[in-house]
Amino acid sequence: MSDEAGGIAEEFLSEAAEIVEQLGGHLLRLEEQAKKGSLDPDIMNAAFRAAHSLKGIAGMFGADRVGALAHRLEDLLDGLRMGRVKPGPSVLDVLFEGVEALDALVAEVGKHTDAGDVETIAPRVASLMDKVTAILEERPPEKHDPLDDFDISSEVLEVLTEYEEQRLRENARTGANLYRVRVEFELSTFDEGLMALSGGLKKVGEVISTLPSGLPANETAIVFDILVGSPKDRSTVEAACEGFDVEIMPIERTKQPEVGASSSPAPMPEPMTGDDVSPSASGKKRPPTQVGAYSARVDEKSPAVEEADAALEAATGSEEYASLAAVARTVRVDISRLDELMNIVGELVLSKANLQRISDSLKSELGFRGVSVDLYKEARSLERRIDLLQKGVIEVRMVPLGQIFDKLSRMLRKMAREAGKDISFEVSGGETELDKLITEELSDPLMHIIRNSIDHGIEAAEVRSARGKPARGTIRLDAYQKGNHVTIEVSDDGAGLDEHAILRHGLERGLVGADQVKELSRRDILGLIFAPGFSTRQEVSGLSGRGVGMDVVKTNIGQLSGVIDVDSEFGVGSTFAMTLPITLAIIQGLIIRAAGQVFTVPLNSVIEILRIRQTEVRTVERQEVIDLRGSTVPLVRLGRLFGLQGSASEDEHIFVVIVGLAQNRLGVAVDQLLGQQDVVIKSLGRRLGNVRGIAGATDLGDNRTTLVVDVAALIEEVLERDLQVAAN
Amino acid sequence: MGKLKHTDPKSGPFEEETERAEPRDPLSEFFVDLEEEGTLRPASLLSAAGSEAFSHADGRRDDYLSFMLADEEYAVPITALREVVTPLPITEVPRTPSYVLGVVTLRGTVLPVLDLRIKLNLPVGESGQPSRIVVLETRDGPAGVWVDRVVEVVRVGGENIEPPPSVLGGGTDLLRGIIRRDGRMLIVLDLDAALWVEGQISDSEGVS
Repeated sequence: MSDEAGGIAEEFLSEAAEIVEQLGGHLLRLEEQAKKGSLDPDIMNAAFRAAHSLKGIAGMFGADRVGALAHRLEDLLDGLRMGRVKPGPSVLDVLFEGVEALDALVAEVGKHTDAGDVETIAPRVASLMDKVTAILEERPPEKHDPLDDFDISSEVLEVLTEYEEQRLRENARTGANLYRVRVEFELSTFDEGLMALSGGLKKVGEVISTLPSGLPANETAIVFDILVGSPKDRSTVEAACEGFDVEIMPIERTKQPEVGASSSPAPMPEPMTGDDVSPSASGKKRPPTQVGAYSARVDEKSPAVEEADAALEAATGSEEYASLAAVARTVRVDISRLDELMNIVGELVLSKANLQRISDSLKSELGFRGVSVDLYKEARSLERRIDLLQKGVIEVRMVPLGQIFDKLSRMLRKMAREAGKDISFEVSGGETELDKLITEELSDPLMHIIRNSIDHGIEAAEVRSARGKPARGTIRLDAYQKGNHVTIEVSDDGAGLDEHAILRHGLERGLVGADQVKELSRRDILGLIFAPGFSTRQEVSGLSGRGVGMDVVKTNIGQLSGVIDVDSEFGVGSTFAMTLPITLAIIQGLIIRAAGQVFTVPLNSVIEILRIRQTEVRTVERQEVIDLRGSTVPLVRLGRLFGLQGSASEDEHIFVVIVGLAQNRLGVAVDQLLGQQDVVIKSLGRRLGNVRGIAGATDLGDNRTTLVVDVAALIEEVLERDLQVAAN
Repeated sequence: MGKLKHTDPKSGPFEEETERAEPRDPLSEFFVDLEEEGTLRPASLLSAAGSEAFSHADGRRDDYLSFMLADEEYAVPITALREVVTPLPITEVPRTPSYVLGVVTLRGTVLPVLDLRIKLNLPVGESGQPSRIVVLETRDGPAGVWVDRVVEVVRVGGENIEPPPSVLGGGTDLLRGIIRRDGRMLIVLDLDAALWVEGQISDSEGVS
């Protein structure tokens, strides 16, 4: 495959995956709404558009299977939004299944050729397509058109889009009153006026369409007919138009509706939320004469007209334009380009530091006057701008966790169904932002924890009832930011972890020594589930029996410089908390020297720095510890831990950098503190990428490469060491 | 390090197959002046990187860079050569095999520097010679090799490369063959294998 083809596939993959994800998110929202009995037309439209765009790009990139399925789903969603298909659990199930199949198909494109997978997906897709066809063919019996009950001029009906007509029909069916609200605005300010009026009308009903119409009284005005459906009477609608000079024309009902007809599908909410006015307000489908007359009238001020057109689109929220604009305002960028940018910013930071040094020495030579003042000022202003640039580049890398939370919700829905358990999934903090790279690496560990919760955590409904819990289990996903870290918690109200069973198991497997049991804290015992080879249940289910245990989860989190903790109460539930840095790309570093070598310690994990006497270092079980305000903190000497040649300082005093992640604390003995600096962490590459305790390297600007200490790994290592010591 | 530019392409060092490059500074083209960026790669390097097969049925010839490791002369395909630099300060990386000298930062990229003498079980003598770091591009990304001396660029036809003799003992899996010429023996390295770093030592001295 040529590079170009590879690039195209890459582009398709990321875009398609994103759309499938969005579609899944919309469906989740629709499902929620369906439970409440009303579907938001905005979300239905968004879902329809997602399927439509996916079909489009699949066609562009020749991904025929994706395109075909997307097309089918698009039909189904179109039927749904046009009222041709009744929303119901079976339809949603088919749609969810469709999203899963699309996911698989897109992944298959990524793998290029994998005949085995094609074979397994193909029948699934085929049966899915049949289901869609079956639903679409199962049309509701042709009924009397509720619009016939109204005295609506065909002139109006002609200019409505199919969607608008459907909304009109839906309003008619539910027995709402229809009004035509005519309003005149000054051309220069009509957009604001229209928006305000629409807003007011939406509170009492649904704005079905906004049509520019009729001849205005003068050349600088524009007249609109707003089609409104509302269950309220005329005076309420009039009140909603308070402050506007409107003419309200009820559309007369010529027959009484068969209200309460049981066949009424998808009862719609009365006050419509969101912005679902005219999908093609730019006059695309309007009778040409009207448009012509309008433009002729204001010909001599064409810029104003353009502006007015643009404003009209904005004001009426034209669907097509809105989606085009959304596309135009988003740029898809390969994360490696951002890495490159970040590198350049890093080099800039170094140049800035050098410039400041020059400025300082000039200042000391010349005194603070003339050119030395100028240079100083310029250097300061450069510094501020580089700071902004750096922040900007970091922000670009940030994505909200909601993206993966949606994906997880979908997976959970599926897994719970497969496990035959009724589980509700609650999410908070989806807006919390993390570096894109970290977010991507998080979905696997989170998925694994959730899978464990479904499989081992949440009990069967009978067991739950017997234990006095609600039959429906709950899994919560919460994220929040704390300083430079983000904590993500997965909690369930399931069976919880059995400490005694864990300990017994740990003893059997030789993970702890029998004589040390007394010294293990509850946390130590719970932490055993992260030990390699540990698994609390022998049985292997289709859900979690993938041969990977919690140790893999821990390793994955560790590779992101994060830590994972577990807390659990037997019979009540468990909580897994992951603490991760917001970004790994650029950090504030504390520059230190230990055993003759310079290291950088990420400042975001430094809690405090102490200066203590060597004599204050005590040993417990041959491990060095120090006393930190009453609690005992293990102490490591980097030189000794890393087996470096250089000798530690013989000074009476040493510096101890206390580092911590979550509740863990560790003291790192260092010989010298050299300063603080922003550093860009660079990977050591594939050959050395896995050196334990080293997160990467950075250039401090003196042409020397400095290693960056991986604090999470160090803490990990010391905790493990203590456990081993305890076990021996 | 000065730079020689080949203004007349006909007098380039690769003109004739057995010709040694210009005597004074045969490899100047590959040497990099760290202050001067963007001019360091000969056109031949821009097309392909990585260690390609060296035998061509059509009798095509490939260029190899040869250098000294201890007393032996080694060769690598020139398509894998990124640059040759004078030694930079190397930062030691703990918990790595002894042949990993450490890492350097070269134009923003961090790369490991390996001492193949250790990996190939060659005597590590006094490096009184003006040593160099040869930066090579491989499957696993760029890596630097500390060499005692860079010798020359040779052009060799595939038929002149013999398979590695099995009698060489340990480390033959790091080799791809032998080039014999002018009474010398050049050992061709299998770059992907020779520059790979075995699994890191996870706990060099962790539990004391």
